[in-house]
Amino acid sequence: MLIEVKNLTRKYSRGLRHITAVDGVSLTVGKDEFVIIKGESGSGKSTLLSMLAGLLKPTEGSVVISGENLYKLSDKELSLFRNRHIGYVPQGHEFLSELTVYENILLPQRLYNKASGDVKDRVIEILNRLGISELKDSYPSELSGGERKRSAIARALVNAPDILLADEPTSDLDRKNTTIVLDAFSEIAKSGTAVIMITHDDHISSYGDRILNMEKGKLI
Amino acid sequence: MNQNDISLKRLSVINLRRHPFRSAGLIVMTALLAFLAFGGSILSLSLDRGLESVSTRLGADIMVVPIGYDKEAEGVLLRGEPSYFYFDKSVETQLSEVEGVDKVTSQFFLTSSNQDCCAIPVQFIGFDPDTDFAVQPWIKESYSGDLGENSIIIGNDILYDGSGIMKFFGKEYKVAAVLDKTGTGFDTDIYANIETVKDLFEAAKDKGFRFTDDINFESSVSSVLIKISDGYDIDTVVHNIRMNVDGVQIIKGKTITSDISDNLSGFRLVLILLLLVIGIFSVIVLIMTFSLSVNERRREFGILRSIGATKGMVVSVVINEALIIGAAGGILGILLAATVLFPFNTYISNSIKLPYLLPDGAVIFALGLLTVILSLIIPPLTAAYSAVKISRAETYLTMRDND
Ligand SMILES: Nc1ncnc2c1ncn2[C@@H]1O[C@H](COP(=O)(O)OP(=O)(O)O)[C@@H](O)[C@H]1O
Ligand SMILES: [Mg+2]
Repeated sequence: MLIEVKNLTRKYSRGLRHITAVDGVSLTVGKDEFVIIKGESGSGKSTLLSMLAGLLKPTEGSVVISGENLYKLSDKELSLFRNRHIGYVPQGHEFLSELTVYENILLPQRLYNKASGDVKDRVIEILNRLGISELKDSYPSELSGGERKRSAIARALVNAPDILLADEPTSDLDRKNTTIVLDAFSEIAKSGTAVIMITHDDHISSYGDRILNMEKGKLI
Repeated sequence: MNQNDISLKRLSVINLRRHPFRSAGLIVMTALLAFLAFGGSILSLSLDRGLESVSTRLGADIMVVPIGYDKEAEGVLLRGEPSYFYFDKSVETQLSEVEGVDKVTSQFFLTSSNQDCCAIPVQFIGFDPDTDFAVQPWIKESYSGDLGENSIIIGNDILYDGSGIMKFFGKEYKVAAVLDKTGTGFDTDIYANIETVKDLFEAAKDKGFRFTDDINFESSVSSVLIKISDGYDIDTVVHNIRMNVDGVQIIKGKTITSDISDNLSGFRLVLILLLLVIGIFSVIVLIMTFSLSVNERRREFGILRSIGATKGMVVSVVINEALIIGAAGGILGILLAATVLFPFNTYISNSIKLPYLLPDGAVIFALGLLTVILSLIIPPLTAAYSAVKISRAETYLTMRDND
């Protein structure tokens, strides 16, 4: 299995109250799978996804991706692992605003490597695949919602990750752009990168190998 | 580097450019600190060295001048204000007999505001080669060999065309050497042995300079320098002189500079306080600005972390910004101080009316280096807290829209 999640729990404290945002979630996802997690706002989807991405320490439980137990790794190991194996598309505020789309997309590659011709070709190829190659020299603030999402997906794919995690990538998009993004995800999954996306939109039904529902921190 | 190539280092530069006024403000503030630290320490060292050279050039434990002329004598030594005053040569013998006095030697002063040579008035000091212990030792540093008749040795500030000859009162004298700069009144002095000064004295008289009218050269001296015997302290000898010799003003070699030393400590205190106040203020401003600037960019740092940046990388982005500010400010401040201190060296020296002698190049270089090092250390330290704090925050929480 590519991803094995066991008993994943995350509590937040808000003043004196404790909120269990994710409550004992266990889950396995295989290579090539396109998984959609649905749930109402506040059900804990983003918290779950960020724990899968290695961005938030669980209160309990474990996340194992490609054999690595994420929260047992040192910061350096986890950062490198994230860089190499996990593509994460956040919900809003995806970019460094002073860099062009191209520079933003190149950045994950440049954190650990010297620039090379190969990676530049790869960036162009990904941009072409997502139909945004003409935006390469634009700044993030100049993009439409759909273009921003596609650019963020391009960045998540630049290091050819094992898994792509997307937090409500379609929430701000119209029908046409939603279709473009979902088609892209299907294709990405087919080409060997597992995709987990979350959404609060009930109308997405014709996509995904598996659709899971989340309610009050649990998968049902 | 290609314009499309992106690196963490460029992120720091981009962040600084995003707020040009803020960044410029921080650089100017750091520059001011470096300016004060570098400029102030050089000023202070220059004054120290000036004083030190007064003591060593005086070359005597005690200087005795006619009563009432201590201010004039000080003016000659410290500020290069030419003056002349005389008392009877018999004082020299009286002084040599006082208990605790080891050696005595006398000097004869003359002045000139001769248009032939000097924009500034000149002080002639005639010493007695047979008894002198004060002047010749350091003259030797610039001129070896005996100073023959009609030969003069001139201070560093005397305007001299290098021809080997200078004219005073219509007569020519051979310039044997030019002394090193001392930053003191000695720089406008001209030294010669007593025979040469006698010649000058006669020449002045021939030219009708009235100031020499009422004295007899052979029986007059301007000052007597005293070296005390081993085992005696200056105050005891000063007391003995007071008891035995009338009509003289006693100047202790050390006290001549001590008033100025006191003023200097005052100046240094003001400088240190100023540095401290501006330093603390700057550190607070830097800490607050970095905290603000890092907080504004919480989400951007979250994005960096999410794409695989380590805590160390996030810290380095912030620290690099601080380093750039420190380097720019430090170098700017030093350049500014250098622009003020070095070209205007003589002007400063003249206008503060205190002995003033720049430290050696090596010392100046070391001070500059130290200032740069401090400028490179302090701003990163002020940024460190904010940098470490943001790097340790849970990435997902820094990326969320709220808080
Ligand atoms: N940083 C936080 N501090 C306190 N409570 C939080 C925090 N983040 C999320 N929560 C709470 O946890 C629950 C789950 O939030 P979230 O994971 O964002 O859900 P979803 O993405 O499904 O809308 C919500 O009740 C939310 O208010
Ligand atoms: Mg959410």
